[in-house]
Amino acid sequence: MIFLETKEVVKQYAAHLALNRVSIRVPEGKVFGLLGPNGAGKTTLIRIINRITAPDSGEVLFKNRPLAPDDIYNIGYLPEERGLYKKMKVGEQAIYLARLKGLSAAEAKKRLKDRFEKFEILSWWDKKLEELSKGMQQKIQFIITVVHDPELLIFDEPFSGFDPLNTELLKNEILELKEKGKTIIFSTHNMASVEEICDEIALINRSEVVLSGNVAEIRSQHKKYIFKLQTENEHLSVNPDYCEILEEGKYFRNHWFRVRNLQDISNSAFLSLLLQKNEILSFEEEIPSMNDIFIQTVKKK
Amino acid sequence: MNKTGIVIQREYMTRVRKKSFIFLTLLMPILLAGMVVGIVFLSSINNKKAKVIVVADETGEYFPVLKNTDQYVFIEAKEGFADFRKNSDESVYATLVITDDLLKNPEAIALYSHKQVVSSVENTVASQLNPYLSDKKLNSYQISIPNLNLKNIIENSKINLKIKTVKTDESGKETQTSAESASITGMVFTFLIYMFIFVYGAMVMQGVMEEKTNRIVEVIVSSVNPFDLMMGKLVGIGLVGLTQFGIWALIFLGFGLSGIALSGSFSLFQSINGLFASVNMTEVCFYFVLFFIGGYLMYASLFAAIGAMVNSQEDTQQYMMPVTVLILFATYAGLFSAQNPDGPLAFWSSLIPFTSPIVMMVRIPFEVPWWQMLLSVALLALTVILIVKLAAKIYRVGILMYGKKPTYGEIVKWLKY
Repeated sequence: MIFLETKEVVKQYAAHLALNRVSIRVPEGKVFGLLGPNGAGKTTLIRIINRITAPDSGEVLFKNRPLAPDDIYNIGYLPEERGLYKKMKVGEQAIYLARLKGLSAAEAKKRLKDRFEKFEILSWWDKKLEELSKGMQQKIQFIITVVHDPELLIFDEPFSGFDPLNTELLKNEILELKEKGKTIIFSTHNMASVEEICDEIALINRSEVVLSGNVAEIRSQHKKYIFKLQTENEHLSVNPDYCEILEEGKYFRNHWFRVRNLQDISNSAFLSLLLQKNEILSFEEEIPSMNDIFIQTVKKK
Repeated sequence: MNKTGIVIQREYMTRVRKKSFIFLTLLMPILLAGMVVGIVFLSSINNKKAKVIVVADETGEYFPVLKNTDQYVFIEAKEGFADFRKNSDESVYATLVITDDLLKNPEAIALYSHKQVVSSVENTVASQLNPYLSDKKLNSYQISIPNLNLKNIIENSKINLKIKTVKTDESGKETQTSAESASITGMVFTFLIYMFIFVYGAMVMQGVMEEKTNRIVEVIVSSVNPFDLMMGKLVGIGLVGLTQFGIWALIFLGFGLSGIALSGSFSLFQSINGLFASVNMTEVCFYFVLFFIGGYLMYASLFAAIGAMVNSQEDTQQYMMPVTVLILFATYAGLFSAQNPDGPLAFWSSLIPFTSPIVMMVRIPFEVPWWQMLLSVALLALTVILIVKLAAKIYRVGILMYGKKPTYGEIVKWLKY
């Protein structure tokens, strides 16, 4: 089931077209990666989904019906530029923000106390925000984002500003949310994390969606039929009609080669052709990383 | 509770609980009262120290006439006037030199001093010598009418004119008024409303800027629409202002009541009570609240728009200038209107919405015609609605715009988004 869908969304700012007929489909219970270089229009799209700004044309469907004002109670949003009231006590502002998301004061307090306890930060409750370190503030903001138990979560660059330890913690939290059946939209530049946690992606470049779909499918679509293999022998004897040697080198006692499959044949057929004349120790296809695909797609345009 | 309510609650509570607010609200009246008492006290100390005036009276006739007062002690000079200049005795405040018969030569009297002599010395001497001299002059005519005391006749023929100002209303009821107390009341409230609009308007701007520079605004507008957020802020902070005014009004009322109780012994309170007795304070306070709400909403929404435009404190100056000039102009117009509360300046500037909340406060103690009041309030209300709408448009776009500060041209474009 498609949880959230944007259809041909257009947003124009004065002289700048921020979004040009952008359509994305976010399946329910999946982690959806919204990728793209800076200024591509990701934040504008996220703001439209959050009803912070309205699109000039096009529509946003929430559970297959047009997005309504009350749907924001069902969205948790962690913006890229994070911030809370510096002079306000942590607990107080957490309750305030939770109430704005539709919780009653008592319910907000109860849930927040539970969360704070889980993260072992209950002692921060009565501290002013400015007394806490940046990482602590990020944790609090994360808690505030999820406290009203929304079905859709939007994280804009969630890992920026986190140390590796907290990044790991946050990653696990996100995966835990996914396991609970939440739908997650996840905007990032960090391609390694995309491979790890995203199921689907849309790549936005210069206001348009240039690539979208399942992460595994996209990666296999972008493969270049390049293989890495190791042999004992110094020479790899191949037929130049079906195999091109791109690079070779020595690896301890063995030799490695990067070769390209020039024929439209399956991997096993290609391997059996190689095996006819060579003793092969290892055989591995190079699947392009999301990073490569990102750079390649963005540069092409 | 709806979301605007939640926002109002936060804006109000966080400010009212601040130590600086509590401190200022309670301390300000005490400071003011303390200042007044202090001044009275200090001036009374001064009075007790009598100044020494040495009298060098060559005629020998006038010294006995001069009587010591609380402030001045007269001492006869032992030497002639010539010695005085060399003698720089610090304990002597001034020297009064009389060289001739003052009836024949009224200019034969002079005060010498190392310092500028205060006018009260002159007045004291003159008031003591004048009756003596006029008696003497009278006697010199040698008029004698049997059974008649000339001195008494002249005394009785002097009429002291005391002008009371009396205000009559349609029913013919008379109220004794004092133009002075009305204009003092007007000025006090003009200054007060100026201060409230400026202080609380600036507070709104700070609040908006805080949320924008913190970037918390992005989280908030994902749950509240920007107009509700702005209105919540305006109302919440406005209520803080009204709370402060309310507390001050209560404190002064308390002072006033205890003042009445003490007035027998403390003449200062007597005069203050007398001053304000003729002005309808309830009415003035009612209009103060009304015009504060109008003026505050108008200016504070402009301040909110400014707060949304900028990214840092330094950038505010440029945009605040026009607003500050308007408020200052209104305040000066108000202070000048106090001289002539029915003049054209007062009339027009109490109708124009940008100045009316401030200037009207000067005029209210002088009884403003009802149609002018109605027109003024109606114009103000319309302008408030218009300005709030415009400000909300700028606010909505501005709070999410980071980076360079916008030009005026860009701001006009925001209005069309």
